[in-house]
Amino acid sequence: MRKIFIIGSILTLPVLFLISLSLGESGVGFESALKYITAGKLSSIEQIVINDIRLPRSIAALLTGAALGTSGAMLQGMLRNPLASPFLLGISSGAGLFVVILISLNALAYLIPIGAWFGSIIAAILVFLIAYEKRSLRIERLVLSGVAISSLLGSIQAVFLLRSDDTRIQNALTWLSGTLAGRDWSDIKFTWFPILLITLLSFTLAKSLNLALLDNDTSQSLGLSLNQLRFLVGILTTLLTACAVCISGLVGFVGLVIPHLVRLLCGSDFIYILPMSALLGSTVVLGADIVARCFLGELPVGLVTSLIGSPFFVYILHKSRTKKLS
Amino acid sequence: MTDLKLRNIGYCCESKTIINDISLEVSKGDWLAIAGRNGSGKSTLLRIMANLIKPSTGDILLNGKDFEEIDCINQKLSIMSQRSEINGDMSVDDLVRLGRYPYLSNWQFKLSDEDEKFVEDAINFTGLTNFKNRRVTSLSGGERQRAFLALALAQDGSIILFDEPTNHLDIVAQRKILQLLKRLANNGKTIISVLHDLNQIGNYCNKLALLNNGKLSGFGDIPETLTSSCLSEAFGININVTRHGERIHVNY
Repeated sequence: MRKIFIIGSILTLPVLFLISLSLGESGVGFESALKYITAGKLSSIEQIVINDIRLPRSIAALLTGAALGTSGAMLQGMLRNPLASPFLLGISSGAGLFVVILISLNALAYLIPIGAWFGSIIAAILVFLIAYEKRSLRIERLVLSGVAISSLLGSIQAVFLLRSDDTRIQNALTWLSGTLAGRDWSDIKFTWFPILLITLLSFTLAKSLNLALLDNDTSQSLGLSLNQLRFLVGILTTLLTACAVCISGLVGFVGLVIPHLVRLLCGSDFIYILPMSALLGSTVVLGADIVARCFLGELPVGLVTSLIGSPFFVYILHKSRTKKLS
Repeated sequence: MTDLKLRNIGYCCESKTIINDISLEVSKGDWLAIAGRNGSGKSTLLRIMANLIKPSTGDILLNGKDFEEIDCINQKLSIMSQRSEINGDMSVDDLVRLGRYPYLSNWQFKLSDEDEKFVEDAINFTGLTNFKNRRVTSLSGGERQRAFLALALAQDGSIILFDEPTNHLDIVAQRKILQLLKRLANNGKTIISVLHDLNQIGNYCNKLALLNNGKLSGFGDIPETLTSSCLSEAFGININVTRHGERIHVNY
């Protein structure tokens, strides 16, 4: 099962990528995309459509999916909590608040991703500071402080939204739902490298996350420093998620469900879970973006991942339960 | 030769003294039982000996070296906790493989052939060969204890510590675990375990440390420490110890 899943995912991603470069409103199709990839000759229109519009958007989808999938997998492992998602640490509410404030102040568009990044980081730092006690990070405190900070920042965000006019509310809601519409090279200029680097770095935590599946005494006796792991995972997931939020806003579902899906299909070994969560996260966000822009009239990609992904996930859960029972 | 020496060990937590001035020594092949009333500090002492918590005072020496001075201490000591559990859908084989992690370098993610041999031997030793592909969560209590024992064995520490290894097990599973530990001690491993059943201590272990309010009220070989007077003093009730040949019976 694991092998089929890994090979299937590896093969699906390039196919989807090619489809993503081929589909759109301009009429530039599969043949042009294939020519672009094989360095063939293209007209200037084809060059602009593929190189400046579709390619950066597809890469943005890949980066967002990889970042959210990896950070979700790391957090669920570190917190020993299957309900953990990258947005548990208050990141979504921090980013959301800053973006809503910027939109309601009519700030320049280029400031929004920067504001989202800072909002995410500040919220996560607050959550970690509250959870830090007696030189250690306690899981319960981390989860509870995440909930408390999210609730606080969410309320402030709602106040700003209620006092904004309709156009601004719509802009803010589109961003809060997670969208890749209109993403170009400038949107991934500063985030592609950190996402790539941190995703690769996170793979080195696979063994520690495997040990974290055990009770504290046994894992410590096998050489795991739980505190060190919690700090590392905290820092890496915060940076990864902040970069993803910076690119695409709040794309839900991926960070929560992709690691589950990978575990169901691949087992509980993080040596597989981490890279496969990155790979499947990328595949799902890219696929959802293709559906969103080609068939659903530019619906925010975050809504598509949830609308299509959630029922699919329920189906997989049901299937795995019947398999276990039989 | 493996020996573990505790010299004047004390442990305080939130200004409360949990362990007070304990000195004892175990050697290769010994099976030391730690017994005492609830809250007497048994599990804390075991966790100190497993290097899971640092003592507030005193020294612990393994083969004459302080724990702090020993490289790769995780290759020397392994523990089977009272609350050994796993949070995931892992097979027995995958669980036992974690026991070899202290031997992998930072960038090594795959076990070597030698590591695989340790895993296989540990699974065979604990009689789990037919269960190795089963999920740990689907095993019975006794089988699960043996899976965690296999994990501790794969770690190949010279000292293996157990916190109430027979807890919640039926008598057949208890006997199986105790016989496995006895075989380990006979094979030269040093076993240190917290045990509540004084009859099991008398019939399987060769050393006993009795704790009373964090202090050592008795320590030594079983014939000297598993006596009516020592036990009555440690537990504060009348306890009678009788011997029938090699069998020891403790009544209370």
